[in-house]
Amino acid sequence: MRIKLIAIFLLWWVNFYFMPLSAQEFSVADIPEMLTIEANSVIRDSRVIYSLNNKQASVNWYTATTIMNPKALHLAHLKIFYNTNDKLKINKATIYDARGRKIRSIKRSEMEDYSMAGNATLYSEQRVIFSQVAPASYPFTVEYDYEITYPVLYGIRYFSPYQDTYQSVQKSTFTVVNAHNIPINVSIINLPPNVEMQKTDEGTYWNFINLPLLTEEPFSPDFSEIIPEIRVAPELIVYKKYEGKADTWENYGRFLAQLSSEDKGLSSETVQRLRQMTTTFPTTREKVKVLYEYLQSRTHYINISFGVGGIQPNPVARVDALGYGDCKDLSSYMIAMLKAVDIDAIYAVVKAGKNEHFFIPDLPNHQFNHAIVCVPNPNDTIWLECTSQVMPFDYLGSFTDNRYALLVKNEASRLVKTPEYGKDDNYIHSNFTLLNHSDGAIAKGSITYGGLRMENVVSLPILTRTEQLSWLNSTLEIADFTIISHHFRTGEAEANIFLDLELGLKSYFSGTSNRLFVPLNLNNKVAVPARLRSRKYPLHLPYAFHTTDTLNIQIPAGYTPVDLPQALTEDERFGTYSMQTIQNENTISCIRSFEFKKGRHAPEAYQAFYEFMQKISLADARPLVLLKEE
Amino acid sequence: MLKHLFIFAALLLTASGFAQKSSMKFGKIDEKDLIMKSFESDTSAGGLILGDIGSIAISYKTTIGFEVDYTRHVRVKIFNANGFDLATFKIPYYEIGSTRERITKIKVTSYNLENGKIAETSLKKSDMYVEELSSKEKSLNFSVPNVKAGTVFEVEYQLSSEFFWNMRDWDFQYTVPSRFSELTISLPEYFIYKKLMSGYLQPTINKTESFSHSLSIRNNDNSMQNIPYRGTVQKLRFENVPAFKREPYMNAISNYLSSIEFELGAINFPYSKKDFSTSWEKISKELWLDNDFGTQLKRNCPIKELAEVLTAVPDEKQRMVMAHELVRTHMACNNTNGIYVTSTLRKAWNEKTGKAADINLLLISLLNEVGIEAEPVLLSTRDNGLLHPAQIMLSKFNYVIAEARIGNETFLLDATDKHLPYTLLPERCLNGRGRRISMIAERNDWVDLNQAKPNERVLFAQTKVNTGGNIEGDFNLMETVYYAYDRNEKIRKQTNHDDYITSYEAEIQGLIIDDYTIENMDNLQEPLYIKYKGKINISDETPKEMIYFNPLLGYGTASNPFTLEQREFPVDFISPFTTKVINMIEIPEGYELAEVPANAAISLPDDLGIYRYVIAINGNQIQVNSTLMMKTSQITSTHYPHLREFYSMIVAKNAEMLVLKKI
Repeated sequence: MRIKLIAIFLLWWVNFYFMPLSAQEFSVADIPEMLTIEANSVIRDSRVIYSLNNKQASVNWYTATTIMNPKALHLAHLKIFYNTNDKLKINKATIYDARGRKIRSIKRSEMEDYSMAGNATLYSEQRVIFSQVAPASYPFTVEYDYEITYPVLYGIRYFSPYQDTYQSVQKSTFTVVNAHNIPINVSIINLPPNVEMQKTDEGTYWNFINLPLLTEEPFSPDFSEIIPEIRVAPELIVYKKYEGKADTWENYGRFLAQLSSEDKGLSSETVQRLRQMTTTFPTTREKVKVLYEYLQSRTHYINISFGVGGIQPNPVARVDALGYGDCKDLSSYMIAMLKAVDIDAIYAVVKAGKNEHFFIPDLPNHQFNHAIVCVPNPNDTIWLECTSQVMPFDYLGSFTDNRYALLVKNEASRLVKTPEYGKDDNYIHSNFTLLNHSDGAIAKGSITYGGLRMENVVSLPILTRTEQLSWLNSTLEIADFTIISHHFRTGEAEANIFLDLELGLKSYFSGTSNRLFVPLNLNNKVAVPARLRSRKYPLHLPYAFHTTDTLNIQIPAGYTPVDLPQALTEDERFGTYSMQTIQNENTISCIRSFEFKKGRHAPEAYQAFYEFMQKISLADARPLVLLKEE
Repeated sequence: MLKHLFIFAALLLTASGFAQKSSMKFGKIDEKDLIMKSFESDTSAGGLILGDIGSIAISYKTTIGFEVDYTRHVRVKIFNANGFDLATFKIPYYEIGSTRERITKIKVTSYNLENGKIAETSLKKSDMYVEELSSKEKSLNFSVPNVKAGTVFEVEYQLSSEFFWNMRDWDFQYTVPSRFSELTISLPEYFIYKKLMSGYLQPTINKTESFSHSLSIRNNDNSMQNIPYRGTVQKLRFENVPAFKREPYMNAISNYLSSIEFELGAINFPYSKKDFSTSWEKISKELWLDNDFGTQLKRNCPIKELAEVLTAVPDEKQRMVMAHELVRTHMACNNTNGIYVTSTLRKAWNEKTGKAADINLLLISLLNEVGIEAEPVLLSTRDNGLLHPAQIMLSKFNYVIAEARIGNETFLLDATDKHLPYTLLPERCLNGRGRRISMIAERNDWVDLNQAKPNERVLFAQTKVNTGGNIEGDFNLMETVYYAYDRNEKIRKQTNHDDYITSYEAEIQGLIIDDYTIENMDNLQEPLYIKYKGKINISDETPKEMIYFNPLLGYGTASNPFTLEQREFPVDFISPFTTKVINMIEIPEGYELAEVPANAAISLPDDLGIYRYVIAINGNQIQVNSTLMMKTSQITSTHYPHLREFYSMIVAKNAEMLVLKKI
């Protein structure tokens, strides 16, 4: 009750000082003009109040958003995400027209309550209250006010004044009410200079006014590095029957370790079986590999989030019996299997996702959404992704590469970095020979994919022939082809994928009566980035790679090359491209090499990057010209 | 309702003459199936349905009354990780008010060969989950335990339901191959269902037998009455069914997948009859009486005052166009399909939003009010699958449009999309034929939905080549019908026109656009134009001895979309089309023409399509014209190899180069 009073007081206080728009004033005409230019939506007034209590926390969301055009319609629908254990209270859901007059309120009976479980989820307590808004005209404003009480004291509360791109913000406040003085960790990221922060006895609040349009640009840093954000996390943890502290990584790790402390481990039969399987392998690496492949062959990923399911792994014996589980279950199971053969492995939590490298090292809390396994091995630490049947051994890919991970050990949890894939790791090599036949050319050769460049093909060896063909048919960059044969295989010596390919290229040698034009780039064309008219964000090139392509062309009888195209494009910021053609009797070999650097450059560098890639694209497009001999 | 009628009734069972024992017994696994490493007819399959036996039976139960019992017993072989998805089951069921469906007798077991012995693992009840999908729909979710490469598993359950009007479909074809899939449908004579079979495959067994049962009912005077009744049992069995594979340029999967669907036609009890639908005449009559359909049209038009203003317009066609525009611009569509209105047309008009049915019935109401004859046409959208002309099933329709008549001319109208002119239906509606619902019996008939003019795209360029081999000039892109509509939508999705032009530039290698205009975005009755001054960079600017360039500048069809060598299903272009590139090229002074591509004309058999490539030279001016015309929207799979070859030749022709030589 007291908390609520304080919240109401604060609301009133904030109201008084900042004179927010009252409901009658949602007129679109009242938005400062600079905020409407190119905006799909404008946050008119948003007030988020995060209240911490001894054993629970609650958040009150009040947001009035003007939807300027259909591109932002998705923001208009009422969407309240909650968990079945949470308490939910909906105070207001009202729609206003462009002049700020109320059109209608959404009644409770118009709101549907759906499960959030997706395809790979067997059960989830995550739900959503949803109501679709179909506007008669634009712009219009939606005003939502609801409150969720969480029965746990755990995790990070994220706040950003922005909810979407092409959005501007007229006014937004975030308030933390901490009446019990629970120790909290507050991280503030990318805050613009005009943000006021106020501390009172009742709490702390931040007030954002007139934030400009949030735009999008290609090759930009991750939005976490651009948008303002405040992260608040209680340093006390109360999660059902578990309690702990999140003031240091050691303590947070101790809490996570505690969740598995009651696990009784694998049955002695299973332990025996695992020992037998590995006795013949002498090294740790080989033993880990055998068990990892065993895991891949007999388990698969299925998400069941139930109870403490968001963070607590299922008992390993249960995973052993069912043969499926989520990342936590399968990682714990992998560790238990390694333990059975006396190999120490560590449960590691990360924030997974292709561009999720952003991390705050001094916010020891739940900045994670995934679990993997780390096997310390002198000079050869092994990392295992346990939810995939196709990932090569000791391969993480862009899902979890090059970022912080917390190694969870009872007494000595610590942050480490997962491995980064560099220029030498990420590659595509191809080697093809082009032979002439009476009914067109035939290309025969192979392509090798490694590192992050292998990701798109990593599952192909196990896909069905139909799926492989469909992938090849939609992915090969050749104008007109027929697949004669193909074979995907995984590398023996290192983690890579080979594709052996034979293609019928009926019209590859196109031409006029006296000349033939032969493309020198079979299947590795660069994508030229968009020619931007202006650039705001730094240029971000996320990773380095290199590609080499060799094409050996058999010259058709009666023709000679007019010249042998050569090209070299270098830029110390972006990389090196070279293309050479060499004639050897009646064969012309085109050797193309492209080294691409990773980097972060000033916005102005974008134009140079565009020109660099454009030059390469033109060099790639230049054909070999063969002249008919007189 | 039915329950009450039969509350005192008891069932007298007589043996069914069709009780054939199923060929699969739960728990009796053939060891050969466990040893099997792959399926000989499709070695790349991730799994194999060893057998799938289903039954749908309506039977009488003393405490409940009539009920539908669905049973399923499926046995599956897993070859590799590709097949693991087959092991996860999500069985949806309904709970509407106090009436709920029940899943019972569920058994889930997997079998693995371990050291030459069959090891069984059964799933515990505690490892099954009930998920609440929405307030009316739940789902029983589980995943078969211990599934790995080599596993055979079985799942069996029964689902009992009173929702006769919502009979579940049965698929005889899967994403993996199957040895057999069979369904037995047992129906007392009281229940009449329409059955709709789809797919290209033929059943190996399709036989129907009749049976007789009897019921006894207690009369009002407490005497018992015996009611004999008959019924039919149909058995359908498909054997050695290949995996279902999706192909590009294909419309709804439901048109092709082998399956059976049901629609309740009638429940004819001796004491109460409810006929649901039998003939088109009946459907039409009932729709005109339906509160959510015909009644809405018989009522006064909710916008009488506006209608009066329109009536003053003398030209009928203009009046129709204005009525369409009025509804189209006033109403916002909430993208919900269906043939019935949400509540009333008046309410829809006042709220300015509604389903397609609200909007198009409103249009009909308004047209009639302003003196233009208009009637509803029911149809099935492309996603919903093609209608089978022989099947009279109201539930197959999910959309309604308007048909207006002025003199001898008819217009199909849809007012759900603010940017679509009256001349076009949304693409989702172009799906074979629709059914006109008229109060005049003889006007109830099929209507061909695809009446739009062919799509047209013309790129006209006037260009100059410079001594470096680069190209500069004026370009004019014109598009009509759906080409125009689609591009218009793309432009609208971008933040501003500059952003759109940036993405358009990327479609042509080396293209840089300086000035541009976009015309007719708000008036798609007229063609959409993008006019621009552009530069196409092919090389650096140093003067060349020889200049090679493609006279179509990359605007012609450059790759063959038909990469598959064969296909089973027709290619569906949705509409016929013509695409044209015309380029008038001026060559630089001091250069002469060394070589030009030859003229060509290529056609598809049966005059389905034609391609022409024509080059004309006049001094230092060269004109090239490349035209592709597809005269039909559907190409059958027998013509597919020709189509693929046709495109292959077009791609080769479009890639040809022009050669200039320094004098």
